[in-house]
Amino acid sequence: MSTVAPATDDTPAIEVRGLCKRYRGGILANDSISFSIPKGTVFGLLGPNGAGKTTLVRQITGELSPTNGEVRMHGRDILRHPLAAKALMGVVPQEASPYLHLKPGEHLQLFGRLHGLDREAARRRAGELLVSLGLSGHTRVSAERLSGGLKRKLLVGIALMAEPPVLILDEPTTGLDPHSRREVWALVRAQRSRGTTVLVTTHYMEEAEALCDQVAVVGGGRVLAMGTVDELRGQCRDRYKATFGGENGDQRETLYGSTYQAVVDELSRRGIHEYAIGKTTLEDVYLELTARPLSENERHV
Amino acid sequence: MSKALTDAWVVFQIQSLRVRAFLPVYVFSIVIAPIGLLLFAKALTPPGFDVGTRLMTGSLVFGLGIMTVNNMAQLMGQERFTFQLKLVVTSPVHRLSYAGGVVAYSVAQAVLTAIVVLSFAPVFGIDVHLSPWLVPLILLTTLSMTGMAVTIATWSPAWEVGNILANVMGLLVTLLSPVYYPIERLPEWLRWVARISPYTHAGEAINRVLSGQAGFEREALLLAAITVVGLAIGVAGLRWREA
Repeated sequence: MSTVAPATDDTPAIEVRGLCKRYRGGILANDSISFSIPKGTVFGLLGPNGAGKTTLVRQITGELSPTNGEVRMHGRDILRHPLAAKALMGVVPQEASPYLHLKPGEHLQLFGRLHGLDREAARRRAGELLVSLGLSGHTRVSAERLSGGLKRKLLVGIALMAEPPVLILDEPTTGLDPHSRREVWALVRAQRSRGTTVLVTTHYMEEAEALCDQVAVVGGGRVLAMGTVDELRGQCRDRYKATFGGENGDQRETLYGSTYQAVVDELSRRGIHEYAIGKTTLEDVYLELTARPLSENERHV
Repeated sequence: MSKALTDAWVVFQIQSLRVRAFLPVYVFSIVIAPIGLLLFAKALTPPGFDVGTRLMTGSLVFGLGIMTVNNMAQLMGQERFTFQLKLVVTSPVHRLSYAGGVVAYSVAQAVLTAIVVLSFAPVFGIDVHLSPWLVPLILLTTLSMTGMAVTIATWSPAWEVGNILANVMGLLVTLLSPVYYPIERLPEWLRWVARISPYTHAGEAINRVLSGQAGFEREALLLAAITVVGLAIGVAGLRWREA
């Protein structure tokens, strides 16, 4: 019988060390990925399609064996103690589907029980979540009749049922309308304020900016950059950008520069007096890191 | 109750709630399939032959086979390939608890099927001996078939392949298991299928009990052995962590 060492307070919520996944056929999905996520923070994984985000998340949740490396959840090794590690996390997998014959409340209660809640606690918590997720008007219908967005919210609810110390959300707001996305953001913020650690993958830069304490940009199966949103902006060659009406009429142009003054000077030199200027966003950092070339309407100073 | 048993019970509940959603279909499959088999076999029997117990045995065994092999394999395949299973896999649930819950659901359906089939015996004028031994034998028969269902569902590379295999294997084993006819009627090279088929041994054991005869222990032991081997192969394919 194996034992699980108790986690200390300074143990990271999630610790990933030297994670590598090489599929049969030699395809390298990710390589030498290491990071640790402190307790009570929101950590974002950003990256283009095929960057290896979902492979990484599936290794962290224990669904996929790494070729090398290890993952620890509050100090528990996911490979050696999968049930103990899974008991600490709520997961919204990217591709998962609810059971179409079950009603939302049944989903929440039954999966709450699988996460260790007793019948009464599961019933009470399901009632709370149905309200906070905006599903209370759909309690009588089976999941089959829910919209795509409501199904996604239901999956988020299942992950939140047992109030786990770690929440792993693989593109939780994909397919949601802006209003529903903000509802999910509010839930994530509420979880963070309760001390829950959140790992979220997303394509939406504003989502990462709005939610994440730390962000890792993943590309080609590696971590390209990691830090707070401001730190990542600092790694960007261009710190400021201005957008203005194009010289040829209705097309907008973007001008990037390393300093505010450099951007203003260039605009002045071009005789452009109407423009919007601000700091580069996470999206700009992301595009630079993932090596997207500038379009014909974008220029460096 | 331990966490593992609670989890199996919850998985059983998740499965059982399907019946509410598709009740007419379930009633239809529980009643029509075995009773249809009984009618078909009776129609093929020449007049004057008193083979009522054998016909009842065939309906029971093949009815249990349809409910178990076909339905269970398709249900598990659906959960796996439509990513519903991901919700269970990412929960702190052992794969044996999941398998236990699904198998229990299948057994419950099979028991209902058996009750329906046996209750039709007087309707068809068939005299059967209702022994308490029928209960463990029906459970053992169903369990011995679940191994094939779990194996098909877990080892199939695609949902469509699983569905085809469940139907083809179910039909093949039904046709090649000498429940309605003696094994000597099969070509020599096909008899090995009959010998390892749980249907064959279930048919022999249940026919003895329904006829009021003793001596089904050997068949019961063989069914137990098939259960262990079948479930071991099936559960080995139930991958909680992809390689």
